[in-house]
Amino acid sequence: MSTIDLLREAIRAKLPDLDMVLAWGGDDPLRASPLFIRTESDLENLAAPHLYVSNLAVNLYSLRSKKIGLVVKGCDSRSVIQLLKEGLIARPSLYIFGLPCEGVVDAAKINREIPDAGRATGLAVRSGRVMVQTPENEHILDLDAVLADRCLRCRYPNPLIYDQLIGEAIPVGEIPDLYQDLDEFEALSLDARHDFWMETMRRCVRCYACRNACPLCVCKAHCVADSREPHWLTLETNVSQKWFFQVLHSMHLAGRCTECGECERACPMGLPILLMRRKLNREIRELFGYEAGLDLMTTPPLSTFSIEEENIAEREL
Amino acid sequence: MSSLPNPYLPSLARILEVVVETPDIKSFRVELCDEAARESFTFEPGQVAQLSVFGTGEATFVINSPPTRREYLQFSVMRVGEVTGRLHMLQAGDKLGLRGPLGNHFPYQDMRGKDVVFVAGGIGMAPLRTLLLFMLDNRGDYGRIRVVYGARGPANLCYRQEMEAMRDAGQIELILTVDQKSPDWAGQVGLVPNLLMELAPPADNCVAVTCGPPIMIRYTLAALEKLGFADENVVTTLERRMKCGVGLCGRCNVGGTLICVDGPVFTRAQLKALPDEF
Amino acid sequence: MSLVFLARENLPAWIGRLYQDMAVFAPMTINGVAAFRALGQDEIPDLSRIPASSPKAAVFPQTETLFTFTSRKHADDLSQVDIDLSYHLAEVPRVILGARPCDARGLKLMDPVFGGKVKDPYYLARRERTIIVSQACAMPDRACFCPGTGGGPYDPAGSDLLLLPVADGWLAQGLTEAGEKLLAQDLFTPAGDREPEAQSLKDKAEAYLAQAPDMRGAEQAFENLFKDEAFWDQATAGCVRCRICAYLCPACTCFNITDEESGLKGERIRTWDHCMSYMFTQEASGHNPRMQKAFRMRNRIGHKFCYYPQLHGGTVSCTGCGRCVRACPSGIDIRRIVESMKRKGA
Repeated sequence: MSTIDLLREAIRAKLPDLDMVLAWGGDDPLRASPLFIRTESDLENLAAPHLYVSNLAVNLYSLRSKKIGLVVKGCDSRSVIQLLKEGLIARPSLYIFGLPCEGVVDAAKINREIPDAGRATGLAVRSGRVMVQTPENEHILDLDAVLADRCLRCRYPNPLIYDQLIGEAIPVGEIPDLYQDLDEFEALSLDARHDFWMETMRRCVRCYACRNACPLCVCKAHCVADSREPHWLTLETNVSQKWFFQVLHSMHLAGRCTECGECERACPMGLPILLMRRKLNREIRELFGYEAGLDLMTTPPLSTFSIEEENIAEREL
Repeated sequence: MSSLPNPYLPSLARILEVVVETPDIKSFRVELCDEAARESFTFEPGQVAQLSVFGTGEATFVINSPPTRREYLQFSVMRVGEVTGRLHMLQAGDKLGLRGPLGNHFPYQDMRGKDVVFVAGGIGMAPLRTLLLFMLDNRGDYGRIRVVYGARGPANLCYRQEMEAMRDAGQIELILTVDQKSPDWAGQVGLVPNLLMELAPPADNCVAVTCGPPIMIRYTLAALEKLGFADENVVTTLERRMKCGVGLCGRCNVGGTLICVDGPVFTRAQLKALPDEF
Repeated sequence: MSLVFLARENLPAWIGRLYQDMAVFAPMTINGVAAFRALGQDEIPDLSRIPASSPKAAVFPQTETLFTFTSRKHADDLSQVDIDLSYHLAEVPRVILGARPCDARGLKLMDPVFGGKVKDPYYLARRERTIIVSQACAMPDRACFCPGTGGGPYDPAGSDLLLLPVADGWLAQGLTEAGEKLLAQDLFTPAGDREPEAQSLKDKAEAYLAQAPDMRGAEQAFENLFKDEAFWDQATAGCVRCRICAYLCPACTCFNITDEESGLKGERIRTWDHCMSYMFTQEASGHNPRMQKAFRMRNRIGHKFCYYPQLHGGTVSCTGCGRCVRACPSGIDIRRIVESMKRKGA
């Protein structure tokens, strides 16, 4: 049986015990959408696995009063672990279908590669190639050129938490250099980096898609960015306010972010904002040896403290 | 500058007096700074205005002094949020911005020759006060005037002395009530809709005007229906978070109706034609 | 009206001349995403992609100052404060270049909101000074559905000048006097026999969009479904309550007003607002008539396909530009919502 058939049957079997199952569906050939499966007939809308681009864990917090089935890829499972660890959702109300993942395609990359991608009628992945059909053309692309960035540096293709694994676990290949992009960026001069972020923020429309698509951002309407009391941010859409918000968001995610990339994927302006979160994550790794969403036992470093931190030079007394 | 009037630009107003009504309600008596604007300012009972505390923002309040009394414009403000918090810090002599009058008004013309029953809870007495005083100033136009007014406790009743004086002068019949018994209260205890049912004003040739917390309004409307009040003889005011106050910003809609320009005053007959979303 | 030809290589020179007299708003592509912005000198827009954003900010900026306020304390009595208010309206003429027909229609939908019974002087000052140069859509994509809202990929409505794509440039069609004026330049040459080429692209684009669902006439269905909470729950299930759909929409006009101050000075600003936000209807008392996102979506759909049409002769407040469909992180497709609304609420 193909992965999609295995998944469909697994969900069908568990559906009677659950209020709904979150998976991926829809008819967009370049990306699947969240699919809320309530009845068996919804299962007909399941999409193909290489389109499972979004992280469905974003829905868990607001559905926490329900009995939810959830399909997770390896990366998504880390968000679930982090949410559980922070006590934001409860394990008993969750049934997890773990889906080993060979990578998902990034519609934004396809759009950059193919001018008529918006007219695509079909997409197929075969042996390292992606075929995109449009009314006028058939485009063939290298899979590596259109895989989501996070897939290119994926270390956890297999879910780290699940009740049921769909198909076989995938052997983990060689782990690429995790932070090469960040190294390259940090090699730029301070001015160049500053200019890069100011131009990036100029394009930001402050739509909060980055925040709202983030599975760990659960403050929602209570976010300080929306608040007048305290009044830290104004509603102006100038560069300084947008930058302030992005920094706030990144700081709030330090040690919590699993680098799932939903912030960047959701951005309608295509802004490379994950880089900022990755910068803070690397700091957390280097200071505390900690990565978010890997296990349920450890305490996130910013949720605790040691009198003397090993890697932080305290001011001389 | 364009010759178009600027609907967003407030006039400056000066606070003449601040009256502490309850622990969280203050009344501000203000006048427009510009004398010509002050003279030409007219409004109808039930119309609202936007008050500005510059640097904090604007919020909507009913002008709750009646148009028949022109020495000042009064606004009663309950301290609940940012703008009202800052308003509460203002004193006589301070300046604020005023945009108005805005919105529609109580259909007082249709109430002439009829009995009127006012049903209010908490700060909900504020919008009714303007109509009540207007009626007293035109006392001959209206029949019996009954007021059922409740609040959490005795200290939370607004305009209590003023209304008791009206009662003592024989101008109105007054029932004051509080939610819970307390040692300093010898009057009625109970919820407004219940007391309204006990009072049971005859619906014949009578108009009911009600304002208060959403839940109170809901039960009051039900009570009035039981008492036989026709929908067109029940009048209430709706609240919505408003920004522009002039029908542009799109925040205060109930269906295609904008509370800021089509309201805030609606008869029950009008409410029933709106989507159930308030 | 006669057509003239603008060669692709003459676009920069033309923009350069426009730039001398007016602010030019046009789509710039960065990182594969085209978005409208006020061009800087010598910046050349990308007219090849469907812009991710609408050009509405040219007439209705995302943030604008309504007025500034300055407090002046009396030197002899510091408790006495005078407050000065001042405002100014836009004076610079502007051109929106590379709007799509759906964008031009969007401005036509905004006009009656800001220029109705109460006139918005800020919007109108910009609008009166704005010339719209639209590019017809030879290559609509799968998110487009303009014919379903009363428009079309070559719809001239609302534009001053329409550029019809041909292989090596555009045929320009002046639609208003203001638009014609922009053509009085040596950069434009007679169209010769290029018209059939433009016509054939138009036919293809219209054929591609022939299946667009009709989004009009849903008022009754909406009212019938108003209380069907399950329907709205389902339609909104994936929504993460971001602001993409409203901010990219060429027809959304709802706004917020807030004050900002620093010391004795400050300003009252107007900013775009978004109806999917919990805060949109949150009252100071704590009451919120639209607590659930499903209710907020219901209002969003109702506004566009019921309330607005009821006030404006059946015209929906949607131009079928497809931007919300393309950019929704959860893949919510407004066409599917309206289609199923019409089906279920019939």
